[in-house]
Amino acid sequence: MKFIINILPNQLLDEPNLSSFVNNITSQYHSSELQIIIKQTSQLQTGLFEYIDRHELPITVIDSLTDVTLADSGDTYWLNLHVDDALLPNAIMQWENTLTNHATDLLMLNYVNNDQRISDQLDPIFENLGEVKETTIRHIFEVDPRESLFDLPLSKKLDLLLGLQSYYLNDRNYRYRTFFNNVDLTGRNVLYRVNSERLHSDKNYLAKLLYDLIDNDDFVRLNMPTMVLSANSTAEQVKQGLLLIQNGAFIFDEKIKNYYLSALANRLATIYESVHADDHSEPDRNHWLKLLNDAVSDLPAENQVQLKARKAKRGVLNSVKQIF
Amino acid sequence: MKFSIITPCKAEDLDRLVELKANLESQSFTKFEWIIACNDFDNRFQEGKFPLQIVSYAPQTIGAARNAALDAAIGDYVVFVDADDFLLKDAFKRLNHMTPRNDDTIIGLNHYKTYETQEAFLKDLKINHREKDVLPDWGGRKKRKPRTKSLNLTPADLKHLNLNKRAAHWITNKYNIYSKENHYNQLGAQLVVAGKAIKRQFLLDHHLRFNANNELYSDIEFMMGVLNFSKRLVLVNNYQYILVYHNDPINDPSNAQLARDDRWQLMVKSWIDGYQQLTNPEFKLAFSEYTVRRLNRTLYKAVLDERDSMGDVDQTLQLVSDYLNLIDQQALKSVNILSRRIINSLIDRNYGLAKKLIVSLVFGRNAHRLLKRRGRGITKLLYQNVFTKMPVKSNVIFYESFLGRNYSDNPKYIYEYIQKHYPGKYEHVWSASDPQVRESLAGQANTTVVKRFGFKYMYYLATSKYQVFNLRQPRWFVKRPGTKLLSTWHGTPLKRLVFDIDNVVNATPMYKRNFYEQSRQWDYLIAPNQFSADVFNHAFMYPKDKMIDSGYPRNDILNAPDRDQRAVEIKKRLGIPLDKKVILYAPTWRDDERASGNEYKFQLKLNVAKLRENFGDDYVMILRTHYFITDRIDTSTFGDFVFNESNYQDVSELYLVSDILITDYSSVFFDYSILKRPILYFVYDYDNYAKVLHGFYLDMQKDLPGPLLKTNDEIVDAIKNIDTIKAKYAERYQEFDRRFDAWENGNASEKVVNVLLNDSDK
Repeated sequence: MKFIINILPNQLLDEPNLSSFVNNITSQYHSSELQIIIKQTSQLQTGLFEYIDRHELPITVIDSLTDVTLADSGDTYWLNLHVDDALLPNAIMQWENTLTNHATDLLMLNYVNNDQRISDQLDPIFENLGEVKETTIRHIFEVDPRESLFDLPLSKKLDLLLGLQSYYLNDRNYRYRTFFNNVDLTGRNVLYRVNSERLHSDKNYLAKLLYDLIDNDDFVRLNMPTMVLSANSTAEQVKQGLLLIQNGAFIFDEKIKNYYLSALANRLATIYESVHADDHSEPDRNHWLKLLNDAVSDLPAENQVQLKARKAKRGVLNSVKQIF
Repeated sequence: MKFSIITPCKAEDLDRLVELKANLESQSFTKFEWIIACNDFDNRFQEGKFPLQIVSYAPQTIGAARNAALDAAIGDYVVFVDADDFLLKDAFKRLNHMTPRNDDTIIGLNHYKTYETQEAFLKDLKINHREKDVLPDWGGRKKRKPRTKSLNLTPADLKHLNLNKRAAHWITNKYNIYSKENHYNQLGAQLVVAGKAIKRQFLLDHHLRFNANNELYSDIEFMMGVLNFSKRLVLVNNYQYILVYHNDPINDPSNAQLARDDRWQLMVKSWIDGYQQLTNPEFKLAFSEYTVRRLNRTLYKAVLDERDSMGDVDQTLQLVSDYLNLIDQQALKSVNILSRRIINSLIDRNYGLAKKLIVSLVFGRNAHRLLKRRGRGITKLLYQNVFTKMPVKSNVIFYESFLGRNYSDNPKYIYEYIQKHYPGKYEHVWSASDPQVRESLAGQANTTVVKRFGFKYMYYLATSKYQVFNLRQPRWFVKRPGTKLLSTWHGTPLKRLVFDIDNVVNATPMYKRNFYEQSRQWDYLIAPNQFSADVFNHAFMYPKDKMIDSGYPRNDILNAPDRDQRAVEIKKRLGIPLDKKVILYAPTWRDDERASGNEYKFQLKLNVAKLRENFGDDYVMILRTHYFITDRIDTSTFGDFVFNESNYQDVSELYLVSDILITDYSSVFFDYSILKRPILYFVYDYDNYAKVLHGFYLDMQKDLPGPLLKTNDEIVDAIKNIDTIKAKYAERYQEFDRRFDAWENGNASEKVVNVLLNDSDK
C-alpha cells in the first residue's frame, strides 16, 4: 500500500508551515510506503523549493503527474492537504487497518476543524455514547467512573477515540447524497485509490471522485476524526464551487443527479455565506458573485430550478433571487 | 483442553455437519474438542485436526442432546455451535484472546442471523473476491446487513501506541462489557445459547442443565439459569458466529422454523420453569420486563390472528396468566397503560376482558401506524378488516396481468373468451398499475378497471368469486371459502424455480416459504405442456391433479385460423411496411448490464447497424427489451429499420408478425416455436453466463431448436442463409415442438374457462 500526500498550495504555504507539516506527517507510524509531493508551479515562491532542497525535506517536487510513481500492488491512495492541515496521532495506522479490512476506491475521512479547540470538537462524540459503550471504554482505558469524559486531557480523549474508531460501509441508494454533502471542496477528506488512468484523466479532481463514486457500489467512511483541516479560503471555495457546478454535466442518471443538485444547493449556500462575510472587499465579493451566478445561469433551466438556495445571511437571498 | 464445542445433531443435519467440520478445521485457532450429540451418526467423517466425540442422548430433544455433550466435555470452556451454523475464520482465535476470565463471565461471539448458507457464502467469497470484513447476505436485523464495523488494530501496531496493558490487549479485538446496571441490556440476544462460551466449572458449580422435556426452548431456560448467576457478559464487537436460518422452511425447517401449534405454549412454559429457579432479584426484574415487553409486541396480534403457533388460544392465555402471576409486578411499568390493563386482566384470568382490550389496542396501533404513514396502508387495512367480511359476488371475475402493468398474456385471452362466449353474464374487473391497461380496455362492456391497491381494487379482490393472476397474488391475499383462484403462470419454465433452486439468496430468503403459502391458495394452475406440468409439480410442490393441461390461452392467437389476417392488421397498426419481413429481437435482462450513472444510453450488443446494412431492403427489426431500459435505448439513428416495441402491451401479437426471432436466455422462444419459424440465439456472453446456465432446465447445447451464435457476423450469416438453418435444425425443431407445443391446438382458452366457470374435467 502506498499513500501519496499532495500538498495543495494556499496562502499559508511558507517555509515554517511546510516544515511543521512535514514533521506532523513523518512522525506518524505507518507500515506502508508514504510520499509527500508538491507540484512545481510558477505561482509558488522559488525559494520554497530551495528550502526543501537545503533542508532535505522528504518532499518530492514534481513537474507533472507523470513523475508520480504508483505502488506495484495497485493500492496507491492519494490525499490532498494544505500545509495548515494536520493528522491526528495514529491516523495513518487507522487508514491502513481500515483499507486492509476493506479495500475501497474511496475512503472518506472524518475530521475536525483547525479554527476551534480540538478537545471541544470531540465532546459531542462522547455525549452520544451508549451506556454499554461508555462503561466499556471507561473500564478499558481506566477512566474513573466519577470523572467526566469531557474534562479529560486531549491525549486521553484521543486514546478513547482510537478505541471508538469504526468504519461505515455505505452502499445505500442515497450514498451519493451523503458523499456529495460531506466531501471537502478540495477533496482533502477522501483517500482516493489512483491508477494510471485516473491520475492522468483530464477531469478535475472533484469530477474524478464523483465519477468513481458513481461507478462503485459503495464507499467507506471512517467514523472518528483522524485529521484537522483548515477552512478553505473564500476564493478557493468559489473556485471549487464553479467546478462543482460544471461537474454536474458528467452525471446522467436522473436519481444521482437529483442528489447531486440537492447537495450542490447546500454547498452553494455555504459558499454564498462565505462570500457575503464582512471581511471581503466589495470588488472581490462582486467578482465572486458574478462568477457563480454566470456558472449557474449556464446550467439547463430545469437544473437551475432544482438548485434552491437555503436561507443564508443578509444579501445571499437577494443574490439567489437575481439568478432565478 | 481449552474449549469443548457442543453440537446437537439430528439425521437431517448430517450433511451440514460435514460443512461445519470443514469450517472448524479452517479456524486459525484449533485447540478445542468437538462433541457431537447425535443418535444417527453414520461415520461419514473421522477425527481430524482436533479430538472428536460422538455421544448419544435421550429423550429425542435438543436439550437432552446438549446435556449429553456437556457430560462428555472436558474443556475449560464449553462453546455452543449448532450443526447448521458456522463461524468466521478467526472466531476461536478471538475467543481465546478474550479468556481467561472470571468463571462468572460469559463470552459471546456475537451471532449474526442470515439466510445465506455457508456453502453459498464461501462460493461468493471465492468467485467475487470479496473483502475480508464481508458478512453473508440476507442477514442482520430486518435482513439489513450491518454496515458499521469496529476497527481493530494489529499486534504489530501496539508497540507504537502508548496505551495501558488492558487497552493494548483490547484494541486488537474490541468487545463490549455488559455488567452492573447494563448487565441485562439486549437480553433477547443474551438468551440465545448459540455462540456463547461459558466456563464449564461455572455450569457444574451451579448445576445448570438444559430442560430435556422442552422440545423447542430449552436454551431459554438454560440461559436464564446462567444469567441468574453470571456477573457479566463480554460480547465481541464484530460478528463472528453466523446463525443460519433455512431458506426452505417447508422441506427443511430449522428448530426455530418448525411449524408447531404448541410453539407459544412451549416458550411460555420455558419462562415459567426458568423463572421459578431464579434467585437474583435484579435478573428477575430484568427478565420480567423483557418478557412483558415481548408479550406487548407479539402476543396481541397473534391472539387476534389466531396464529397456528398459538394452538388453542385459551390454553395459551392460561399459561401466560400463570407466568404473569409469577413475575415481578414492577415490570408492568415497562409497557403503556392499555397494555398494562391487558396484562392485569390476564393476571386476573379475565380472558373475555383481555380479548376486548386486545382488539382496542391492535386497532389503536393500526390507526397510529396509518397516521404516521399519512394514510398509506389504509386500503389494505380495509381489505383485511372490512371487505373480506362482505358477501362474495358470484358473477365477478378479477384479472391481473404482470402486476397490473399490462393488458396481456393469459388473463387477457381468458377475459376475451368469456366476453365473447358469455356476453353480459359476468362483471369483469381489471387491475391496472399502468395507464395503458385502462386505455386498452376503454369502452369494453361490463368491464371495470381499478387502480392497483386502491380502494376499489381491494373491494373487488375481496368480493370477487373468481381471480385470475399470471404472477403470484399479494402476500396478504385472503382466500375466502367458495372462491376460485386461477394461476395461469406466464411461461414454460426455462430457469430453475422455487424448490428447484438450491440457494435463493438472489431473490429473497423468504421466497420458498412465501411461494409455498401463496401457491396453496391456487385452485388451478395452467400447464402449457407436459414438461411444464412436471416442473411445476416439483418446483412449486403443486399437485398435478389440480393443473389444467391445456396449453396457454395467450397462444391461441398463434394457431387461430385468421392469424395471417391479424398479422396484417397488427403490422398496419405498428406502421410496418407490409412488403417487409420482420426480425424480432427480444434479449433477456442482465443485471450486470445496467448502465452506470455516467452513461446516458444503454448499448445493445446486437449490431443493428450491420443488420440494417445487410438486410434493410427486405427486413425491419422489432426491438423488445426489458422495460428497465426501454427509455435508455436510442434507436433514432437507425431510421425506419427499427421499431422499438418494448412497451407494446401484447408480445404474442409481435410473434405473429415476425419471421425470425433472435433471442438468448429469454423464454420467449417457447411460445414463438408454435409458429415453426426460425429462432436464432445470440449468446455473446455464453461463456460468462455459465453459472446461470446451471440454473436452467434445458441444455442449451442440445435442446434448443436453433443455433447458438456468439458474434454479430454469425448472426448476419445465419440470416443470409436462413433456409439452410431451417433445414439443419428441422429435426431438432420437430422434437422441440413435440415436447413443448403438443397441447397448443388453439383451444386453450375454451378449456381453461370451462374448468374455471363450469367445473369441467381438467
